[in-house]
Parts: sequence; structure tokens; C-alpha cells
Amino acid sequence: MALQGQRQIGMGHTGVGLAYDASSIFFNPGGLSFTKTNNVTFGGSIIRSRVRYLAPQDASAPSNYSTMTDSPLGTPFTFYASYGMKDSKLKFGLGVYTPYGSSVKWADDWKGYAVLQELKLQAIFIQPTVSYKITDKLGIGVGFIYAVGAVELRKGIGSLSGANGFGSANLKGDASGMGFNAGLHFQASDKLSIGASYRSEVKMKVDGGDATFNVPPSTVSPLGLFPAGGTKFDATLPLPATATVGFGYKVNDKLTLALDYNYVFWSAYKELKFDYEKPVNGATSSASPRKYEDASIIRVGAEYLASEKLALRAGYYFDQSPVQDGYMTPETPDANRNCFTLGLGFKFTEKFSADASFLFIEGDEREQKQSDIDANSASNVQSGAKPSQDSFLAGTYKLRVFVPGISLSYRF
Amino acid sequence: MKTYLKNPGILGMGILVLFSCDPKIDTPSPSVEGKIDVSNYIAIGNSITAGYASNGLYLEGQKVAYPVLMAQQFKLAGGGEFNAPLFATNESDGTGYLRLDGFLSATSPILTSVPRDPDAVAGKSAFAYNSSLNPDSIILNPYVGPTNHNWGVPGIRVADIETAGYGYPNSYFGRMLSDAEKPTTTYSAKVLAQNPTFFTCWLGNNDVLGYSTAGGYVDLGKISNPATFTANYNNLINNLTNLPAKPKGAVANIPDVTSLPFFTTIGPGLKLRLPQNAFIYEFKFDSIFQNTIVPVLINPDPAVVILDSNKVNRIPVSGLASLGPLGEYSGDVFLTLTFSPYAGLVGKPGGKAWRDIIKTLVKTFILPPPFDQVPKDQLELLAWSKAGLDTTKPFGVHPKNPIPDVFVLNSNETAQARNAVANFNQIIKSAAESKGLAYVDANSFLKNITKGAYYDAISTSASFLSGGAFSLDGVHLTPRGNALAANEFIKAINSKYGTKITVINPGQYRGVTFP
Repeated sequence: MALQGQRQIGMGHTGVGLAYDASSIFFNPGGLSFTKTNNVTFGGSIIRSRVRYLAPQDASAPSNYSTMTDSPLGTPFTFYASYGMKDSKLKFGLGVYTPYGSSVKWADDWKGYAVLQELKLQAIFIQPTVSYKITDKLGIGVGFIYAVGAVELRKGIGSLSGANGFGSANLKGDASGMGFNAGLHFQASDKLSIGASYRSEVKMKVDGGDATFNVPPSTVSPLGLFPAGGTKFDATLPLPATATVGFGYKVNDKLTLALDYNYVFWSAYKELKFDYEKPVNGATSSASPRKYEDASIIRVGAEYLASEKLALRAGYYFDQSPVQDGYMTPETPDANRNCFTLGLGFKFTEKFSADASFLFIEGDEREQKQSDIDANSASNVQSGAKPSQDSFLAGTYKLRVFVPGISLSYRF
Repeated sequence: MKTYLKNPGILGMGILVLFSCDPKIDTPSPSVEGKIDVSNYIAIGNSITAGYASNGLYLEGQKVAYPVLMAQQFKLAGGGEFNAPLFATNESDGTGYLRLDGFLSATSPILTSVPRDPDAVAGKSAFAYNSSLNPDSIILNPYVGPTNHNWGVPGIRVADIETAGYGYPNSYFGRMLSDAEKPTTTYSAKVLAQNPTFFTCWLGNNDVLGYSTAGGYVDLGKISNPATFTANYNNLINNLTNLPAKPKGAVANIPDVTSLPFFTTIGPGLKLRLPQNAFIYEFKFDSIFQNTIVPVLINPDPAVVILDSNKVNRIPVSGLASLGPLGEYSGDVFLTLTFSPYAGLVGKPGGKAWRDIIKTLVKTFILPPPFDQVPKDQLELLAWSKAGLDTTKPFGVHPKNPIPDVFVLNSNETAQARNAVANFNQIIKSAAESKGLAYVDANSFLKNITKGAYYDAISTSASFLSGGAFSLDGVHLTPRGNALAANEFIKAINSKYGTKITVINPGQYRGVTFP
């Protein structure tokens, strides 16, 4: 879920084709050199996300079991600062932002506890950036991304119960990775601007995370199913590359329209694999297939200057799911999403402004069939993998998210 | 808009209202759709129906017996009260059971017998002839409580349901009866008297199981006479469906017992350990009375050779059943779970298995006079020393030191057990079809588990201890196994009657408890 600028969120999170302020560091480093002033902007959002689950409804085996996530509020933030000498073609910037982050918490004893109880994934990108205005019409920019983050995954071990109930596994580690963000900005005319950007894949590597197991003691010794005192683990979470083209069009002094097209290279996410230092359940690694497919996002947005001081914004985007049938997990029970946005901007002074946005995401109700899970597992087994039915829970999932946000900007 | 901005309270309230609009998915309401009447549901069956687990009937198991779980789902769809004949809280250990207390090594579990609850016992019984029904000849305290609905009686066979006075030898049934009823009441009369509006019937397992778990040794368990089985089963179903309420119901068939961990745990390991071209030897005894103990006692002439080579069955190691890659068993010779203390002794000289089995047999059977006067330890020694065994030879792999019959279900016995299951299942299926009852294919269901299945993303198999569905005796179900069985019944009922009874989440019930 991208939430990288309050003005942009209000406009359907478009912005690759528009050079607005220091948030171009994220949206399109090529546009940074076209921003008119130096700028510091700081903002944040609150994500309230809920996933509803309904157990499978086979004709002969209906279920009235339904539950919902109780995920804590997410708090993504953005900080951008840009600086360039007056009339210089060169502009420098620093962005610190959280492009990915999710927190999903199911009840500890819910139907899918053996797949997932809780996942916390946090990534902070630190991106020093330079942008150069080659001509009056064309700018380029590139930023180096250093990403730090943390991941924590907790799940039940359904096949083993002890005196205190089911066992559980907790995997927790710090992650880091690197990448880049590059873009081109083309001012085709006074009215039309075009941008293209490419943000590379960032492989978030967990090196020496801690895996601990809350299991009956006999399964540790003498059975040796779980290492005494837990074990270290390594894992890599790919944050996918995104290529975007965007258009900005100033209809008149008051109305600006924007259109972005993102292509997200989700196919990098083939599996979620943990390599253990000591064997867990007889194996030194566990892998769960993901087999994501590349996906597209179409975004449209509009801004209307109601007065000198007040801007009103609205937008919409359609976020295509990268998840194939039978591969939906309780981590990201992903379906196609329709997303609606509203926003407003208020200029207190020429230099000081505030922006607020509200995003509403409505995921499609998506059913995952056990027959798809079984068929995927059988085909994975044919290609030499282990059965994967333990990674997926059949049923119907539906996501709804509310995200209010606010930012403050200072121009100089 | 400005006012809105200037008043964060209103903004905050607006956000709160939105936050309460959580995603919804239409959830079905459980319903019998007017197709069946579950206001007075009774469960007919044996130990599985009673909630017997880990070699015993005790309170925890009774509470999660599949009929109890089904009744909970029925209740959501408008069903009535369902009471099981629970042991009182001060009798909670019931008849005693096995508990997993640890492991000597990764492959040798320590199974401790939790003793029978003294408070559950009323006294000694005069009936002592059938070990599987009444191991130590006890009388259980009568069940006192609200009207019973769970008529699961451990040990009962279809062959027993018309037997008057069955409550005496089978104290599990006896505790459900008043003293006045005991001499005359049959099981079938008692369940018919409940006037159910709906019933489930899972009987027949013991008509084959006793034979199989005793390794085909007929003194410990016989396959029921097919004519008796047919008559008794059809009478029961006819009489039930002709009751005034014209009850509907579900009947379950008999699983092929060789899919149970009781038979699939020991053999495959031994097969891996021994050379594939080797042989194991089984000593068949037709009857302990005629062939082993009695002749030894009657005729102390050392020329009497009990260990007759005709009775030693040579079995190629490759014939031992083992699990194939697709979860199918190859081989048709099974070793029982009760052989586990001796499996490690195969190939080594010694007579522990023989000593133990003779001890058990002489304890189990009441010998005719005058042998009942002979001290038990002498009896054991006599039988043992005169049996012609040479325990200096390696156990199990030498014809002079074979494996006792009771631990081996050989090809012939396996075929007999499987034939009986197929025959009896045909009778059960015909009864279901002719009376329009739901038919639960428990045989296929347990075969699927044996192959390895996933429920709620949790792997479930017939692996002993870790498989999830079977308790410590390798035959009876864990709470999770009961939840799965309840779902099978519910599915069959929904399919047959067009009802919308909802299923249970099996993953929320435990398998074997590890220490």
C-alpha cells in the first residue's frame, strides 16, 4: 500500500507526471529539479485495515465460521527535504519513507492459526537523491535507496499440542536492503507534463533472525523436532520493482488532472523461504510458494483550487492483485482493489501549508477454493517441492481499509 | 470545510464512524431446512461413538465424542439437548487410559497407564470371559444424570445387540441400565425405547476389529457370523425407521482396520531394518485351550510338541505392509501396535514376547477345573517350557523362536478381515439405501487420512502419535479425529437430506498431547 505524499494520496496517489514538491524524491526523482522552491515536508497516515474471513462453503459442508483481523493501526510516514541553489539546474534531496509495511493480526486460535497468527513487516527507505534539469523541458534524477526494516511472524503449530494447547513458532529479525529510484520528467507544454520512473527491487535480507518455538518440551528433547533454545534464521523478502509512467495536465489555473500507470514486478516473489541454522522439524529450511504475478495499477486524480488557499482533491485507483488463485495467504489475502481518495490542501502562508487525505480501499470479496490449493500443491510436488497445503487456508476473504493522513510543508 | 477543519472533534467522530464499517461477508445460518427433526437425536455405536480414546473411556474423551460435537452443530440448526453418559467429575479418569509421558528415545514413547478411577467402580463382576469388554471384571457405577442420548458402548458388536443381559458382561452398557433392566434388556430394545427423531449408527467395527487386533487369534476375537450380523443390523435399522416418529438418520460403514495406526506403525520400521530377502516366522495357535496350555497340563509327556512346524508360518520380509509414496500400502502382513515392546528384540535370542503373552493369556482366560487351582506362575512356566520353543535362537527370524500369533495379522488373516469388512459394508449400505438414510463412508474417510490429508492447513495422517487423528491406542480417535468424523457425518446428512448443518473447524481440536 503506497502512501508517499498527502497531496498525491488525495489524487489517487498519482504524481509521477507532476513535479509538485520534495515528494518527487519518491514519485519521480526526475521531477525534483522542476520543483520551484526548496521544501521540507513531513507527513503520516494511520492505516486501519481489516480482513474478514468466512470458512469454505461447500454445498454439503457449509460453515458459519467467520472472523476478522484485529490488526494494530499502521503508521507509515514520509519525510522529504530538497535543496537547490536559486536558478540552479541541480537539486539535492533526501527522502525517508515507509513504502511497504503491513501488520496483520488474527486471533491466536482462529481457524487458520497454523498458517498465520500475526505478521509485522516494516521497511524504512532512506533515499539521498540528485536531480538535474537537462533542458527547460527535460529533467532526470536518481536516488540511492538504503532500506532498513524488521519482520516478525508468528504462527501456530497445529500438528503438536501440549499441556498448554497448541505450539507456536515466532520468527523475528531485522532486515536491510539496497536499491535505487530513477526518473525522467518531461515538460511537454505549459499544460502537459509527462514522467517515467523506475524504482528497483529491494531485497530485504534478514541475516541471523531469531526463530523461537513454544512447543511441548519432549518435542525438543529427545524427539529433536525443534532446536533447544531456538535457532537463527536467514530470509529474503523481495520488495518488488515498480515502473511507472505518469501524466499531469493543467486544464486551467484551477484544475489539474493526473494519470499514472504502475507496473509492479511482483513475479520476483516466488516463495517465502526461511533457512535455519539448526534443523526444524528435520529440515534446515522451510519454503512456502507465493508465485506472484506482475500486476498493474491504474490511477487517476484531480485537484481543484477552490481559492488561493484551499485545494480540493479526489482520485481513484484500481490495484490489480498479483496473487494467483489458490495462493492467497492470510498475510495478504489479496484481491483486486478499488480505491477512492479525497484530499485537501491549505496554504496558511506562501511558505507554510498543510495537506490532508483520506483513502478508502475496498478489496473484492475473493474465494479461495481448497481444490485450487490442492491442485497447486500437487503441481509443486511434481516439480520437486514439498506439499504446500499447510501454507494456505481455503475460504472467502475481504479487505477494507481506511487511511486518513496529514502532512505539513515548508517552502523556502 | 473550514469549520470541519477547525473542529477536530467532528473530524475524529467521522473517522470513528467510518472505522466501524468493517468488511462483511454474508454468513449462512445453520438450518435443517425442515427436512429432518433433530429435537431428539441419539447416537448408536461402539467405543468410537462413546468417545473412548487411548485405551480407555474417561471424561475428557466422552466430552468430545463425535456425536457430542455433532449435537452442538445440530443445536445451532434448531436441535435439542444432547446428553452423554458422562462420568461424574470425581470419576473423571473413568476406566483408566494411556498417557504419553515422554520418550526413552525418539522412537520409543513412554506410555503410562493412568489407573482406573476407583470412584467409577461399583465392584467386581462375575463375568470375566471377554477381555476387550471388561478387562478386569469390574462393574462400573451406574450413570446418573439427565436422559442419555449417546448410546455408544465400547466393545459392542452388531452380533451383541440382541443379546439379553448384555449389560452384565459389558459394564459400559450396564452402567446405562437400571438394575431391573440388566437381566433382560437388549441393546437394540434400549435404543429403540428412546424414540429418537433422528439417529446415527456406527456399529460393526468390533465385528471385525477384535479378530484383527488379536492378530487373527480367534480366542481373543472372532469375525462375527455374517448371518447374525445381517439379521441384527437389518432388524435394528428396520425397527428404528418404523418408530412412530419415523426418524431419519445416518449410518456409517466399517473402516478397513489395516488403515489404522495400530497396524501401520510397527511393520514398516521392521521391514526397513531387516534384509529384504529374509523371513520372519509367526506361530499360529488355533486356540490356546486346545493347542497350548491344556495339552501341556493334561499330558506332561515331553514328547508332546506344541510347536508344530505346520503352525509356524514363514513370511517374507517383503510381505510386511509398508507405506508407498502415494500413501498406499504395499504388502499385506501387519504387526500390531502391541508388538512395539518386542519389535526391537527381533533378531536377538530371547523369549520375552512369549513369557509376556502366556502370562496375559492365562490371566485373561478362566481355565476349567482342575487347572483353575494351579498357581498362575506355574501355569505360565509349564506352558512356556513345554511349548517346544528354543529361545536361544534369534527371535522372530528363526522357526524355533517365532513371533506369537497375537502380534501378526498375516496375509490370510488380512484377507479374511478385509472380506468381512467388504461384506458387512455391503449390508450397511443396502440398509441405508433401502431406508433412505444418509450413508457415511467411514472407510474411504479413514483411507484418505492414512494417505495424508490437510484440514485447516494442518497435516493429518495415520502416523502414530504425530498423525493428529488417532489416539495413543492407535485405533480410537483424538478430539481432532472426532471433529473430522463429526464433519463426515454432517456432510453425508447435508448431502442426503438437503440440510444446511454447519461443519466444525477440526484444527481447533487437539491431537495427541505431548509432554
